[in-house]
Amino acid sequence: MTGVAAKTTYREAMRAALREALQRDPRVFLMGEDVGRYGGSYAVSMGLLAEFGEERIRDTPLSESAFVGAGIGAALAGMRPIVEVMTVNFSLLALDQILNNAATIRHMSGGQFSIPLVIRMATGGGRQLAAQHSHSLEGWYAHIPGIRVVAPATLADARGMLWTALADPDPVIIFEHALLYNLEGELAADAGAVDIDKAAVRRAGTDVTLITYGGSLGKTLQAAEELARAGISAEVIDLRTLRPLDDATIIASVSKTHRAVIVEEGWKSGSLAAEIMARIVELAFYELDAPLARVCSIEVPIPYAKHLEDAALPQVPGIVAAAEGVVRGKA
Amino acid sequence: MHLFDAATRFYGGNAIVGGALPMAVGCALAQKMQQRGELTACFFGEGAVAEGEFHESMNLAELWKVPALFLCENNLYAMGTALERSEADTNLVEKAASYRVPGKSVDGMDVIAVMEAAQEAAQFVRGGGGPYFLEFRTYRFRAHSMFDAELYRSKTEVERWKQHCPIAGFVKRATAAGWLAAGDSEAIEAEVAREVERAVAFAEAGTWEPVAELTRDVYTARSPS
Repeated sequence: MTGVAAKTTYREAMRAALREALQRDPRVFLMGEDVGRYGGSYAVSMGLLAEFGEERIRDTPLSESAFVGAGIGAALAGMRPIVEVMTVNFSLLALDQILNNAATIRHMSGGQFSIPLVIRMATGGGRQLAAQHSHSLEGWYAHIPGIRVVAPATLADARGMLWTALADPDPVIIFEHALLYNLEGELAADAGAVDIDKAAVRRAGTDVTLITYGGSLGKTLQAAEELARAGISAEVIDLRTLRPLDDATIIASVSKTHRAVIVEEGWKSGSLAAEIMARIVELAFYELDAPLARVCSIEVPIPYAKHLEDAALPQVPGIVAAAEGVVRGKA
Repeated sequence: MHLFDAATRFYGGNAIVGGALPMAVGCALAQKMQQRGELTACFFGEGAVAEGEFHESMNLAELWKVPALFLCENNLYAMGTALERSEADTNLVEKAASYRVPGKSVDGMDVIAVMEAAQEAAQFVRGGGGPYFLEFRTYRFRAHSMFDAELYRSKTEVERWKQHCPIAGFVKRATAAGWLAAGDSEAIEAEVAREVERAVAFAEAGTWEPVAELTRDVYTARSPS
């Protein structure tokens, strides 16, 4: 990546990605609740209706099943739809279409039909939106064979994952943590497509591997900073793609640090964290010098009250404590 | 259940009742956006009208005026539940009309009536009129599946409907009109029976898909990067 770096936000990076996709490929169109006139419930698609018109920026009724299914049908018939679902909690109304159709049609049809569909949705808590707007269910989607699940956590990934997802012949779900939209930083003017296959080491370290993704990356990097001050060198892995998992990057890191903590906003039971722990145990058990640990959300519907929500979600002190625990044997 | 044929653009049977309706809206939307002058035909039973996806799809299809032809085969029973035991309003054409989707109810046992109604509806849809809903009033002579003891309907009712067999009725009419000569019908039936036998023999002679290919087509094969 070269070019002059400019200040931008995650939201603007995402919008730039949408704009580029709409400009590059006439088959691409965006549809979802409030993506047009309102400008997107998180203002991601602001201005795109004026630029691309009603045909390609489509406001939909509150009919998640119908418009996600329509995205599948349009993808089958030669378009490259981007479907925005306002939050992951609403996506449950479209789960039939995503699981029973998008994820299965290629296999059911013996490879005759692919579904080149991209679904974007906001996920995660931290905004006092309570128990029906704050959950992190990407782990459920990562359970489903037939779809690819990605979670951009950086400006470069917000800018670059969409085009790669659109080029994928199979359905891809992009999870955007709602707290990331205001994330600011520098992005090269010519930033473009990035791979959606590999996890990234966001901070190198030697004592413990902290594995995370999406909205928890910032907290985890902060924890690594604090751990460094306490004399613990933490390596931070951003999974980027939640399905299929990049085992190689995880195992390489754990084989170096011999310790690992997984951090995510999903609930602990049956979580993505549980899956990653299982893989480490399967693939690198003899590399481990300490029990694995994880920092997940407390198993409660995410509460409204600020102090309770904070207590329910993974926070920096909890990540630091878990990492210290596996490094120093403190529980 | 899950038959697909890309060559004829047949996008498959769907084992989730109503599950294909949103996809049909999307296919039709693509046809409209690509200005192909085509239509998408979507078949479903009357049981599907109880699904939210039916209502969402009718609304979206009409809102976006997509070229979708909705073909509802009303055989009176969703598996074993009679329409009047599951719907407060059993008028299906009115349900579509409540979303401003025009429609018509047709005697589904009358081959000519079905053909004419379908032609008319297809012309409307292809002409840019938006979606159209056709209800074919019909009946299922046989059990829903091999596990169905048919406790929900009487043998008399089944026998009564068999008097309206669409094939027998059409043969009678076609013979009377001189479209079919003596023996034509028997010849067609024999040819169909042979075709089915050939298909069965072909399938029986086939080999099982290798277990090694179990996960093929879960994802599109990618060239190694």
